[in-house]
Formats: sequence, C-alpha cells, structure tokens
Amino acid sequence: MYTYLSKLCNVDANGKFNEVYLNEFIQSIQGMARIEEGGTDFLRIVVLKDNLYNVVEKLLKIKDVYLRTMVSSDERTINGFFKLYYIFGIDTLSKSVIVEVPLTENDLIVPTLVNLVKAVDWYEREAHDLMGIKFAGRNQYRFVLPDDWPTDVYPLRKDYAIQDLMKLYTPKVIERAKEVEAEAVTIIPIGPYHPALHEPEYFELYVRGEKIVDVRYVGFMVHRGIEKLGESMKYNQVPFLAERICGICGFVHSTSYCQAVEQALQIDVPERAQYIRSIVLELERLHSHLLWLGVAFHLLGYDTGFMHSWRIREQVMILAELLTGSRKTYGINIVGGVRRDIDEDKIRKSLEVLKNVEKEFKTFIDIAVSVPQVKARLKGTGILPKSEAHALSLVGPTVRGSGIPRDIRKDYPYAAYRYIHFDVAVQDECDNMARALVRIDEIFESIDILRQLLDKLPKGAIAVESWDPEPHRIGIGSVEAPRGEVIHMVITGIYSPYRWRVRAPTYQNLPAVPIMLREIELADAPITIASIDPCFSCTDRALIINIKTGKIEGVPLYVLSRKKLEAVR
Amino acid sequence: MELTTILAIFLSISLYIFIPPILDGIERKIKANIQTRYGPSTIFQTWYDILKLMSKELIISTEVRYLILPLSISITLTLFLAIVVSFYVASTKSLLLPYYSYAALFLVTMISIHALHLLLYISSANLFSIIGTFRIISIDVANEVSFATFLVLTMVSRYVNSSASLSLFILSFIPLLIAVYVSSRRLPYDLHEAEPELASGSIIELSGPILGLYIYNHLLEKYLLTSIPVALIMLMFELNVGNQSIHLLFLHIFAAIIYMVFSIVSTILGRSRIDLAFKTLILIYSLAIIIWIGVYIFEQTL
Repeated sequence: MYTYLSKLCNVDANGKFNEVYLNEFIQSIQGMARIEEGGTDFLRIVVLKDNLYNVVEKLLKIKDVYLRTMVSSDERTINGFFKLYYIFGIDTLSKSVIVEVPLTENDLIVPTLVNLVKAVDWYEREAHDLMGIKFAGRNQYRFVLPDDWPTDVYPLRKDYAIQDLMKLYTPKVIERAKEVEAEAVTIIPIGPYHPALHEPEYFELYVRGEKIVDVRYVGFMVHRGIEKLGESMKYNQVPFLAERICGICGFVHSTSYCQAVEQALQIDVPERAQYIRSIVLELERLHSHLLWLGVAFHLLGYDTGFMHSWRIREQVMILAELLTGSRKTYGINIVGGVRRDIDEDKIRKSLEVLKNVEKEFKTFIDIAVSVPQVKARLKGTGILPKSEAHALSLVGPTVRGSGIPRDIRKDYPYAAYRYIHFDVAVQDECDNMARALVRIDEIFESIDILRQLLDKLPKGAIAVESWDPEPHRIGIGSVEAPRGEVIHMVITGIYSPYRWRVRAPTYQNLPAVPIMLREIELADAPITIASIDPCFSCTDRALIINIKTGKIEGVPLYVLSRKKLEAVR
Repeated sequence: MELTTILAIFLSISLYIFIPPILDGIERKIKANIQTRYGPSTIFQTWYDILKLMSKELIISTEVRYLILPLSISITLTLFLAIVVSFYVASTKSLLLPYYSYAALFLVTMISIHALHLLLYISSANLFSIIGTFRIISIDVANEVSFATFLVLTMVSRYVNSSASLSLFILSFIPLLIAVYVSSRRLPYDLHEAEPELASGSIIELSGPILGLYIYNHLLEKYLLTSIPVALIMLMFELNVGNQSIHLLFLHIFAAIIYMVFSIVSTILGRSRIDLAFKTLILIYSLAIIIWIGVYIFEQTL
C-alpha cells in the first residue's frame, strides 16, 4: 500500500505538506476502510456506510480538499450493491480520492455528510430522487424530479429502461388537456423566466426597500435525463450527446466524457489529438468569456460594451468554424482522439485572427472597465468570502475571484496543458469585479495558450486506430470549462457506459449565489447572479404530448418559433 | 403681433411636434455607429414605431384605466410649454413679462409634467412599477431642486458685475445642463424602468396606443427640456441675429446639437445603481453650489 502511495505522491514542494497528511490519513483509517488501487490519478477507498462519516472527517483534515462530485450507481447486476462514490480532489497533489460506499438493496440509508461538506447537499438530494438512496439526519424532499413523478420510481436504477420510464410517467398536463378537450398539447414552460435570466430558474428575493435580506432558490426546472439516455447509446455516440449538454461550452463535456472512457480503458490518445482538443477548448473559453462580458455589460446598462464584446467574439466564432467546421457544437471528439485535423494554412490564419482579437480586446477592455458606472457597480458587490468559496467546493472563475487558485488545467493536467506554460488568473477581492477581472485575464492567457499550442502542434495521428471496451472499469474525466471544472465519471459497460455521471460547473457554483445576494442592493442582483456565468439548462426543449397516442417527443424551441413565424406571416 | 412672427411661432411649434422622434432616430443611428452596428434603417424609425403602436388594439387593464388622465394632461402641458418657449424666443424684443417670470413658468410647468408622470407610475398596482417609481422620486427630488437652484443661479450671474458674470454663468450653466440631462432620463439615470430586475419598471402596464402616447410624450419632453437652456441664454444675452424666424431656427439647431451631445454621453455610460445615482447627483450639485459661492465671494472681494 505504501509503495503505491509513494508512487502516487510524486509531488512538488507545495504538495509535500499534503503528502505527509495523506499518508497520515491512510494510516488513521486502518480498520475502517480498504484501499484499492485505482488509476494513476486517483486513490480508491472502500468504506462501510457506518464508517463513512469518520473517514471523510479525517480526509477533510488534508489542506484544500474539496468535493469534486458525488455519484450514485446501481451495480446490482455487477456486484449486487448500490454504490455511492464521493470524489474528493487534492489540488496540490493533483490526485483524486474516491470514497466508495457499497449499499445493499434492503438497507439504503446512509448518514448525511452535509454537516461536514456543505457542497454535498444537492448531490444527496439528487441521489435520493434518482436512485432512491436515503440520507439519515437531514430533511429530504423532491429536488430534481417533477411534482407529479410517480413515487418509488427511481429513474437511474437499472430496473427501468428509458422506454419504461416514458410509459410510467404521465404528466398531469395530459389530464388537464383532456378536460379542455385539446387533442395535442404543447407545453411551453412560461414560468420561472425573467428578462435578467435567460433560462428557467427561480430566485425568490426578499427585499426591504432596495436591500435584499434573504434569498430562496428553486432549480431543476428542466431535467433532460441525459445520463440515462447515454447509458443506452454506444460509446462513440455519447460524445455527440454530451456536446449538447451545453450550447456555449459543449466541447468540454464531450472532452470530459472521452477522457473518462480513455482513462477507464487506458487508451493512449495521440499527442496531436490532445493538442487539437486543447486548441478547441481554449477557443471555447475565448468565445464564452467574451459572451459573458457582453452580457455583463448589458446588465449594467453599458450596451456599447456589450456590442463591442460580441463584435470581437464574432472573429473567434469564425475561427472555430475554420478549425472545426462549425461555429458551435463542433462534434469532432471521439473516444481515442478527434475527427478533424488542423493544417499549416489554418494555423497561419488562426494566428492572424488571434493577433487581431488580442489587439482589439485590449483596446476595448481598457476603456470598458474604466467606465465609472461599470467600476462602481462591480466593485464591492456580490461578495463571496474565501471561506465560503472553500466550504462550498466552488470551481472556475467563481472560486478564483475569491483568491483560491483552483484550475483543473494546472491541478490535474489533461490533454496538452501539461506541455505548455500559463498562469492561473486569481483575484483576492471576492466581488463581482474580481470575477470579471479573472475572466478578462483568462482571455489574454487563452490567446497565449493558443499561440503555444498552434506553434508546438506535433505531427502524427489524430486518433487511435482501434480500442476494445472492458466492462466495470472506472474513469474520471475533468476539464476546466469557462465556468469551472466539468467532471464526468464513467463506469464502463460492454457496449455502452454502464453509468455515466455528469457534473457541470454551475451545479457546484449555484449554491454560492444566495450568499452573494444577501445584503446587497436589488439592482445588483442580476449582475451578481450572472457573475458565476450560470448555465442552467442550455438546450431547453419543449415536449409535445399527443393525447391520443400518448407519444412524447422533444422539439427544439426554435422549431416551434419557426412554426409560429410561419403562422403569423 | 406681425403675421411673420405668428407664422414663425407656428413653424417652431410644428418642429417641436415632429422633430423629437426624428432626433431619437438620429440618436439611435449615432449609438449604432459608436457600437459598430447598423442601427435602424432610417432616422424615421421611431416615428414608424410610434405609429405602429398607435395602430395596435387598445387593451387597458382596470388598474391602468385611470392613468390616461395624467398622461393626457402631461401631453397638453408639454405642448403648452412648447408654445410658450416658441413665443418667448420669437418675442425677445417685446416680452409681456420679465424673462425670469418666463423661467419660473418653464420650471413650474416642467415640474408639473414630472409630477404627472409620477402620478401615472404610482397609480399602477404592479410591484415592479412601484419600485421604479420610488427610484424616480428619489432622483427627481434631488434633481429638480438643483434644476431650480441652477436656473436661479444662471439668472443671478447675469446681474453680477461684468468681470465675474461669465465665470459664474459657466459655473451655473454646466450644472443646469447636467440637471437637464438627468431630467431627460438618459443613462445612467434611466434605472426606474430600465434595470433588468424590474422587467420594464414604471411603464410595465402600458401597451399599444397608450405606450405609443407615453413614448411620444417622453421624447417631446426630452427635446423641450433641451431647448429651455438654449432659450434662456438667447434671452439673457439678448441675442440679436436678425428676425424671429432666424431666432427660432437657432433655438432648434442649438437644442438639436445639445440633444446629440447628450446622446453621445449616454452611449458611453453604464447604468448607476439607485444609491450611487442619488449620491453622485447630490455630490455634483453640492460641489457646484460651493464652487459657485466661492467664486462669487472671491470675485466680489477683488
């Protein structure tokens, strides 16, 4: 075990402190847990549920440990258990610690960890809704599933295929539609929408005068069941589904998924493919940050800033089209590499565009952040203390704006980031301005990273020729998305992922919003909510339910919009 | 009164009626140019927008029904003020009353128009509208007191001995222009109805022809406000540039220029928070008054 640990803990001076504590932690949980050798990047600890609290309590004594994600899994067909995987990260060691808790079907009650790890709150509620795990010592109420979802039907259990679930769930709207004798009903959720929030999400702000005294948040208006859907698809179909999780930074999801599968199956991805992935990831960060800056300026009434930011962004979109064939949703990721190469001519053109973007952005942003109203509204508003950022295991520019240099590209290097040099943008002010400045710095840093990647792009293949799936292996893929860490966990199956867990950065960052909103002015609420760059449910879809046949089909909103447009012409 | 004077006044009133939406169209083109986009296809776009709103079906909720009265009185008062300003500028040589009486009339009418708007806003049962109304009241209270103060100081500077009058005039006229800018509800002082958390603030309940009327009234008021300082200068300095028609032409040209300058300023600014907007205004006006008094005392002791 200790030989394994010494191999595992090949760290620099900053990590020495934690290395010692990790060893002490391993010793202290003797008799309470079993250490299992995982991949080279993570340590697996199997604990019985009665020891879970004590083990995690000891683990949290290691400096800067944070909860990366939690996964519930129905593995009854593999080993007869339900399992919970608590995945913790130790940034300074570039290692993850997976705490694995097996549960028998007859006893699905686990002690809650909410008192130890604030960030576990939503994960526990989600595991309760989707997998039927109960957490002792906390209030449990329906969180993800709709109110009219049948009781005792846990959709992520292997008892149900997607088709079964569609038969089991009959939305109340059908009964209501029958009452009004409507033959077909289109559900358009006009509910928790607001001009300051471009997606369905509900924040209840309690104000006294113009001061916000408290906040209540209700989320999960749109749950698309993507994880379940992925389990019924072949390995190489899933990247295309994963990319549709987000309309702004979808490539991070397909990359995370591919990396998770590649890690689980130990697929050696060609270096050129890793470079191409990194190039596209940085392009995505560029356009996403420029998009955010535009929206932020718009919310501050500085529409000139909004227009110029999006004008500059347009060049990045054209560049993305040049390199991948698409402005967005690039679709070039496959397990084992990428589908599209970059030639010398494209490299030359890319460098020209980057030079122009850098020059124009510098001129623009120097003026924009000097506008008195912009400065006055960003500085000192939406304060997120460092302690809260740490306690909630926050990620991305949200945590970096509170002085914690957490960046997956540095902490858990993936793709081609291990071959290049870059600085992690950090600000200590903890306010909206700090988060904006982090993104501004990252734009310049991304341009620099792109130059290095394009310059060093190695020769060779862009994908492995073939690979074979091996079931029941665990892989973790994480990517530093523009909004923060995206993490996918895959348990492999024979033809498809057995369990695919997706955790987007907004999931991790949203609990911080009520903290930021308290005691601020009402007028600062939109920019404060926007400061985490939330991405609630990026590709919202309407459901058309045919009452006669009971058939449910997803229809993109733009199709409905076009139909309406044709109708009014 | 000569026929040419009457014709000139009639022409000026016509300009007051037709120019504001066109100026708004030009403002939109200027903004678009600064923001590197095309903007509306023509400078008449605001007129088209208003006419389109006017042609829409009239839908009024029961809460909004009573808002028509203050809105129509406000439009009447705005047009009345346009007539008075035109008459005032056209008759500089034969005014019936001393010019400060006209200044007082301008001030009272403008404040009345704003008070009617507040009545319009506060009558709404909509919470967003009420929040917007309280914001606008706080800014109006700060601004209109200062508007009156600097109007008086501008006139006082006319009677101070000649060596000091110009500097004092400038020191009172610039804050007066700021007060006019704030009264026109441009950025960053449009937060009563433009902050995203309020959806659309004070005018949230208005739609169709009523919204069209409100927008037209607001544009008319904006232009009229801009022309008042120009009219005052023309009279105070007894500007004599030929006949009345030329006087009125100058009035509209200078008012349009100031309007455009305002539009450029508003394009390069962001929106203040309510407390920041209020604090900044109070600070600017307090400093301006202190400086004015300081310069006055300094000039008198020389």
